[in-house]
Amino acid sequence: MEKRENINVRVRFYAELKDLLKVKAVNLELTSGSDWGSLVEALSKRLSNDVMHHLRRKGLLIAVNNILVRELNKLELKDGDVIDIMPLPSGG
Amino acid sequence: MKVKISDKLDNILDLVQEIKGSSDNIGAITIFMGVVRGESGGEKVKALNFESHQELAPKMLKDLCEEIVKKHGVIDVIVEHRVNEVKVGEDIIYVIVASRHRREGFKALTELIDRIKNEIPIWKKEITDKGGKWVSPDKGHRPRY
Repeated sequence: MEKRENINVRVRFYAELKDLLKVKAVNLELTSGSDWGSLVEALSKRLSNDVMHHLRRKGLLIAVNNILVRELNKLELKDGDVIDIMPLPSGG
Repeated sequence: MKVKISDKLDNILDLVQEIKGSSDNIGAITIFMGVVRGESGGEKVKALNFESHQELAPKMLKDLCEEIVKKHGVIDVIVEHRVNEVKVGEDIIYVIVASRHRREGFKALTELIDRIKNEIPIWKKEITDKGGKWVSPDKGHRPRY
């Protein structure tokens, strides 16, 4: 069985999420090709169980390397990715 | 076309002159100015504080403006949105649409404002005497992505 290599990614939070989680950004070590579920699990271990609750809420904007992710179920992370987790907009 | 997300807005009259200069075929200029209201949900508001995604927000705003121009057949668009603290009575956003006729101008303006509020990664926090509270998106929010 092929061993998946470790990758390093950076996760950034914005607005209300940043305040609720009390963190602006974290660096994580994952395995190559990790999906959204794996990312949330890793964040929960690093931050707190509250993370699961906040990240499972309806309506999040996710971007990887400044490109919006339109199909979260197809997310496959690689080394150096910067993932932005944002609440739905409320500007204007 | 011009989009700007910054802690300072340009002068609105200068922006109108700027957009007028984009074509001789402009017959209508429609403008929306968003202003900080001093009350929200029965509470006195002292200020709003806006945060944006520095890379994504301007890019998405530009793409949105291009889409609106094409869709409604208007001539030009300028959008400026303030970030950081904006006090009561101060301007938050200018959305300016130049068109041949008012009909398409009003339609473009309305859609553009709605989609800016629902789609562009900018967030607002109300500052009151009780502290700060992030504002939820508009009810019935359905971003198009």
